[in-house]
Amino acid sequence: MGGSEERGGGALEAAFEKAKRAGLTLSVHFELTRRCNLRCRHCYVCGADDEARREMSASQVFRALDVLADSGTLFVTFTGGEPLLRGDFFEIAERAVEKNFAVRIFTNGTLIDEAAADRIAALNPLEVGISVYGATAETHDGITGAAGSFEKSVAAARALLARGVTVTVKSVIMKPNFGEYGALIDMALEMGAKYVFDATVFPRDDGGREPLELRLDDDMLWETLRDDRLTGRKPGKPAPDVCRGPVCDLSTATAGLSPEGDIFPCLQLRKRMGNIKEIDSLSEVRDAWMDIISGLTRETENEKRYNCEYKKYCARCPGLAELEDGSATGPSQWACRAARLRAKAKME
Amino acid sequence: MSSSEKDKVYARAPECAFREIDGEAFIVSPKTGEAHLLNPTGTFIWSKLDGEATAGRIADALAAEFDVGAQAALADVSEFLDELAGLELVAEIGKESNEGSY
Repeated sequence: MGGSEERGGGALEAAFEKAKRAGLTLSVHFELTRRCNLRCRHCYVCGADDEARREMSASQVFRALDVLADSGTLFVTFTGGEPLLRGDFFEIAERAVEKNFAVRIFTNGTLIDEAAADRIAALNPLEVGISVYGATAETHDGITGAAGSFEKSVAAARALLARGVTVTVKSVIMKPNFGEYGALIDMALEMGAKYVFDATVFPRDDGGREPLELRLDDDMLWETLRDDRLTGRKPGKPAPDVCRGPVCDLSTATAGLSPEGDIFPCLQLRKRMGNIKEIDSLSEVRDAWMDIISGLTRETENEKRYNCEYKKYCARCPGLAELEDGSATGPSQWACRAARLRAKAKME
Repeated sequence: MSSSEKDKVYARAPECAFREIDGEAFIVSPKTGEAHLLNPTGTFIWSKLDGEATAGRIADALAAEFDVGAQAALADVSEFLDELAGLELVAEIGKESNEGSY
């Protein structure tokens, strides 16, 4: 007898474990549009000319949110493209809040003026992630291809922070901004924002490999893998374990939704399981989902090259392996490079 | 337990997001960034927080559902709601008045 509560990271982990056991999808990344007002050099999203016509209408998105809520989904992350390019973005986000979702928004921030910041703050989002790719306008705008975008993105972050919104500065560390990532961390912290940086650059969704030229070389990657501000290592402690098993964090507890409503295990792994417009509950695609995950797990575990000496340092992404190396269950050249360097750093 | 405790009315913090997972309420507060997982008793109490029910009425429902004494149920409900209020997951929004109208 007696009500009690478990709190913090332990509660989050326990909730995801319970959701997996109960077959519930707790978290969904919802790509509202592939359209974007920036042209980032490293971006993997490829929009078609008729992109707006292919997107779900507002009423279809509302119904999709109903299906997710009825299926037990709690976290919904609106992403893109640039989600605020949709004229109905706030109607969608407000609907999500009405349906008791914990809402995250991933945006480039360039469309967030003072009025938009007020509306976002009124949503009480769990987090707004703003993409910033440099500590200077020259570097950031050089990557986004849009003069003035740095100023707008940083102004958006400050406007949201001033309204008490949790802001995370999100960045991809690449050759063009490698020299500034430290200053960008300083800038984020000085503003009162959190930061999440990653050095993984993906090929384009259509297979285009141009973004891969921007990847860090081994010396640069080595430096980032030894930077405690990026690895999360505490002084005197080993770096946190990066190995997330043969299929990363894939499970039925998380999913990705495309602008057309296609359902994927993850936005990086485009194995279509169904379309949300055609179902009343995510349980209807559960069998296809389980087949994908168990098939990937089995085949990867049987893959001799996965069981190599660097396995415990391997943060392999099946989606990246498929896009870049041709198989979601085979080796990922990017993960292999990073794993070897992590092992070397560990031996120092 | 004082009658004033019994008459308190609580409401869920409007910004909190929640779902029930396998009979247990999972709550996320954007204000604190914290996640909370309630046990079945806590989940039952949480489900009764409609902004109108008093702690006393919730305790009566709890006593009936879990087959416990009224006093013990009220003590549990009051203690739990105090705890949730401290975590900013609920707020006391008033008291049901027992006074006459003249």
